Amino acid sequence: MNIKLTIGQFYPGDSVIHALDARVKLAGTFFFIVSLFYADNFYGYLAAFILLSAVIVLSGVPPRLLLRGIRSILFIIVFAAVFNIFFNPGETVLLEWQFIRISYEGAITAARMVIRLALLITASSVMTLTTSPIQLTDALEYLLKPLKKIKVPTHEIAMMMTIALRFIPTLLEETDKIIKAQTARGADFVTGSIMKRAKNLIPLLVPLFVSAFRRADELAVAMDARCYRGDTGRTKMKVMKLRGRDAAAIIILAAYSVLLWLTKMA
Amino acid sequence: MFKAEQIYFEYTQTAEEDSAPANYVALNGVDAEIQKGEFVAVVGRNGSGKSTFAKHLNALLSPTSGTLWVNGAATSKEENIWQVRKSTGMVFQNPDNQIIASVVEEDVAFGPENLGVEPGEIRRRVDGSLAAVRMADFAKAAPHILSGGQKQRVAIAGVLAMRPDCIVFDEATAMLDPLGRSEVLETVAALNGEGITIILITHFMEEVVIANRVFVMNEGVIEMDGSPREIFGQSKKLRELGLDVPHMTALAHELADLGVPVSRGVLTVGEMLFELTAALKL
Amino acid sequence: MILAAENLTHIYQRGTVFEKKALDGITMSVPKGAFAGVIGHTGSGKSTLIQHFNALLEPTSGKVWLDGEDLFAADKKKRKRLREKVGLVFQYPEHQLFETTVQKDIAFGPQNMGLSSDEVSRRVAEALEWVGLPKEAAQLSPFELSGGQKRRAAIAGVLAMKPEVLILDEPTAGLDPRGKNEILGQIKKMHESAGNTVILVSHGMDDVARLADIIFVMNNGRIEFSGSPAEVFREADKLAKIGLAVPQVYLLLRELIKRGADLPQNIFTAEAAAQAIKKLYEH
Repeated sequence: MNIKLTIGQFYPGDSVIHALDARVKLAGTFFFIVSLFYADNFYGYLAAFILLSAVIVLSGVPPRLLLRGIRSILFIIVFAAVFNIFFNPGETVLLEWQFIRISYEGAITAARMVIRLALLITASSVMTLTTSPIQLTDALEYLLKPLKKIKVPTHEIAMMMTIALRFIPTLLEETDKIIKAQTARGADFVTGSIMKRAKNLIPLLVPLFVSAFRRADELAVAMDARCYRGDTGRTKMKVMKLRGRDAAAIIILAAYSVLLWLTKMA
Repeated sequence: MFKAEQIYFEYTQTAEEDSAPANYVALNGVDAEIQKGEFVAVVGRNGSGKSTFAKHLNALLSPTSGTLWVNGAATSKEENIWQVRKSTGMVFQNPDNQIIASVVEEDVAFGPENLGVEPGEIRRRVDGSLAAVRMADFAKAAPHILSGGQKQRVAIAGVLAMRPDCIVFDEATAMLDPLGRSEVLETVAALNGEGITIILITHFMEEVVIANRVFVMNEGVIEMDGSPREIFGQSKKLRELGLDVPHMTALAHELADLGVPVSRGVLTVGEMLFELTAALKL
Repeated sequence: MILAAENLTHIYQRGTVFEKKALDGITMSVPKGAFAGVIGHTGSGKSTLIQHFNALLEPTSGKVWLDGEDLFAADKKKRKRLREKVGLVFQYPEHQLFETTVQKDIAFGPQNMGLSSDEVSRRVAEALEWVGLPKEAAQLSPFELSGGQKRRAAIAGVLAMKPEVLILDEPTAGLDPRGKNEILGQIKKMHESAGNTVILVSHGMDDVARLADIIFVMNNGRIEFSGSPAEVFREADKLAKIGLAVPQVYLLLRELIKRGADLPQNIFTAEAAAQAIKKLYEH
């Protein structure tokens, strides 16, 4: 059994995109995604496409990594497109054959949907590929800070993410080990009906949960021993500081939004 | 550094829902005094109370009765806990379950960050601690790609960055291979050389030899307390307690029993060679 | 030959940047009924090698012979039957316990082999005895046992499958000295009474020297050398170079012999060494 996981994958590098403040990247990506839904004509999408392409080129991330991201949600994109093409009750009919009816409006909506989703996925992939999980977590904690006022445990959420990222590889290794050990005892994880296979997972899941709880327990003790007490009186080794390039990025984003607004006015 | 006076620790555990809760006595009146700069090895069977004792030194556990003072502060007092944990660091058995961050240097920074140390100073401490355990080259690495010995050295760096007076190793070498074990032990000896008090809990009698004092624990008390030579000189008693002696000490006892004139306190190959060269007139 | 590897090579993540040659042309054979030791430090390929013996990993190239049959050329059904001849006890096997009682957990393997329920319960009882667990332990939850007992229960789960070849990967890691000696003693006793082949994978030189009659030393995915303990430890300097320690008793005798003492070199235990030195002393 082979387990491949692409969550939180980071493509290390020293491009200007990598060097940008994670907060700017996170907020910028969020802003860009919102802009995709604000734009309503092809000039707007063109602007978005050009901006994103420039970022990709600057980041030095191989495009095939980005295509992989799109491929993984290809099903959703196709589904959204098909749904819009066939079920949009548009006025201008392009094609009608038996129960199939494709309207001009449907085709346009479908095309928009595809473009938006593709740009959205690519933009978020570029961000996760160029930002280390730790920086991302820190940025998230910072940006969520205002929510603390309404008692959202932002520090705890960030700490949970940090620990989850740390333990994903460890638990994958553990899963592989347990699968092998049980296979050596004649367990079968790959054949049989769905019901049977689900039942056969017990020899894998019970040890995995027991181990995860044991790890959690030991980790909690280790954190206590190192004086962890939530974020009371806590400092950070890496202080996030905005630099010239971050200001430049913000200006570029501002210019982009003005451009979008103009395309909508025109 | 430490002073324990008649510490007892009891806990209750319910194994099955329908069975009555059972009371366990993990520590049964421990008395001990450890000076600053000492290197104390603690041995004993599983369940003899070693780990429970270790967790008291860091105020992770508080005695049911009796008192433990760390640098004059009683660990049972709530207000002393953070001071105690700062001065006594701990390295645990499983290297995987004590590393918190997914980048080595971020993990080393975890302790000083919790203490509220100023960012520039954290940076200096992280770099210094990683250099001290010879892991500076791995500062940006992901912990899961490291070997067991390397992970434990990262854990040690994490403790060092908190500037402790003492480090407790709770079977920290149990899951390592011989190479990893010697890496960690070298680091431990070097830290002791710099004046840090070391408490080393272990099952490997060969590791005990480098300590200057040994506690043998049994059924929740410190049964024996002395230098490695004094302790291993009593191999019969150790065997009764379910423990071993170093290979050379075992051989020395065998030889002495057979009438060959060698000292029972031999610990290493070098010492044995010296004794036998004389006895056999080589 | 019960088990043999022929030019066995295994490359992890072939064709990616993470490509790693874990086994590099391993050729070895273990005689039927032998007690073999495999030593090498972490990353030398020990674990990768033994996983091939149970077909948990497929070789990149090369063959594994089990009882005269090519394990990887066999069809699915035959391979399953061949695999049952090899019992594999992984490191920290207690982490794989999952059933509600010790009895059921030990029965998992034999049941998967399709044995009758009578046979299964007979084997469970036998396995419990081999590992020295009391009969009453059978009805307990494995999670109620102490650390050492859990380890025994897990080993019993593999013993109950009565493998012709029993492979144990660091079976005593993390145990206290008494627990360690007890488990090794039980493995030795079972080997002597059942006459099966045992492969002990370890970095504990002293244990391997005491128990094994043939030793394979692994380094960088290769068998560096192999032979009887005396033959292997003769290469003390080479062993030290690849980070493996030689038993202390052996080192002592070697030094004494160098200084002119008339002692045999093939001694690895304190008891035997003491007898030999005493004889020399009395002369």
